[in-house]
Amino acid sequence: MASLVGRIVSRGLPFKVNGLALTFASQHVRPKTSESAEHVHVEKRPTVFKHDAVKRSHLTDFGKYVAECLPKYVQRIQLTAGDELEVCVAPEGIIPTLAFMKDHHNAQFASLADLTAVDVPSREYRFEIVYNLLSLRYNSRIRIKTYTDELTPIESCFEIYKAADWYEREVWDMFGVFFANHPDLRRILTDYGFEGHPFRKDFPLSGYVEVRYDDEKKRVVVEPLELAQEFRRFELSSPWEQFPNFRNAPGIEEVDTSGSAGAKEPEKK
Amino acid sequence: MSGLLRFLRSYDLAQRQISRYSFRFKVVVIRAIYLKAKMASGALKMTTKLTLLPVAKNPHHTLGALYSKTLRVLQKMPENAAYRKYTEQIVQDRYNAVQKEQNVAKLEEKINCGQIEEVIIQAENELNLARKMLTWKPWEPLCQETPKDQWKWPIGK
Repeated sequence: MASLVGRIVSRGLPFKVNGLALTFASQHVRPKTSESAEHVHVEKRPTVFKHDAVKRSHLTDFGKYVAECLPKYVQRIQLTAGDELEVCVAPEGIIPTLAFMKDHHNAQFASLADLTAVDVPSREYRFEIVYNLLSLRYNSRIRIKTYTDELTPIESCFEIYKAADWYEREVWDMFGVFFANHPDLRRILTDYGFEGHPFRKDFPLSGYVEVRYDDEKKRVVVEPLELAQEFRRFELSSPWEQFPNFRNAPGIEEVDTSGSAGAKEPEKK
Repeated sequence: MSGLLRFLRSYDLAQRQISRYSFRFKVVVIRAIYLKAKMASGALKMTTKLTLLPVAKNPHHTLGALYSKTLRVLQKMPENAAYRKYTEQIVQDRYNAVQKEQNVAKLEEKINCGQIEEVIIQAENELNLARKMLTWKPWEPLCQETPKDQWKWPIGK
């Protein structure tokens, strides 16, 4: 059994090559697996997501490794409820972090699977920029997050991932996040002459203009929106709680990176 | 008389064709045997089976140069930088493996990170990264504290 676990460890994770890192990873793994068998409540309901303790501990280790290597940029490491690793970085450090993820021997996240944004208007920096990376070499995924607001440009990662070209245009079109040094930043999804950024939370669901065919003018006309129903409200929240059984379900779990505080000490030079 | 002539002419043509064909055939056969023998001994690889990735001519030399360059770049970083510590270890391990093992197939197995051509690409990437890291200095303390509630989710709770 132990050898089986060891084999899974050596196959599945970024700590494959490096002898020391491998032992370091498996040291973390073994106690955890036995622990989950004895003490932790094991989920058996077929419709509920089951955590993979081995995978989680590997991701935790890798998260700590990233935080230790890039203490200047990494603000937070977290594991989501679906066993995914998220690295939250300061916007200054997005290019170094992505370069590290792509080029470092133990990471090799060579493909950018997706790049998108999230709008949370109540925050000081309302836009979260999310990069989903995939490492074919180690068969693993990681999510990098950073933040910006309407005015602050964020550095384009086109130089690192060529795939970012259209994704960044899409984010610019939908959210109005400006990417500095992008080779060709223009709208990509909206219509010619469209104004505004439709994925922003303050963009009305019905838009600002309506388009219709005018029989007299024999062409399509664009007019300011007039709603047939006055005081129309799009209230989507329900008075009932939808999933009371999952009220206290574990959500995002922060990974403690204080263990690598020694490396975080300022350089004395 | 005419029958004999016809026979001689056709015989001559057949001879010429056979000789030309057999020469080419011989070349092909000899080459195939030679390549197969070389492949069996592990000395020659025909293809990497990866698009746009040709077989490396002299992987030991290339890797040696790349790894020693990377190590020299890493030397310029501060001693306690975690990136330097870990990368030095990885690169040194691979460098030692390259020095010790002359057989490419066995070396690939030892490094266990893909074919030797892919290992060369990884080494190039690490060298570029290390050079950029010198200007970025990621070992310094956190450049910007997290703004309040930036990573809090869900926001309502």
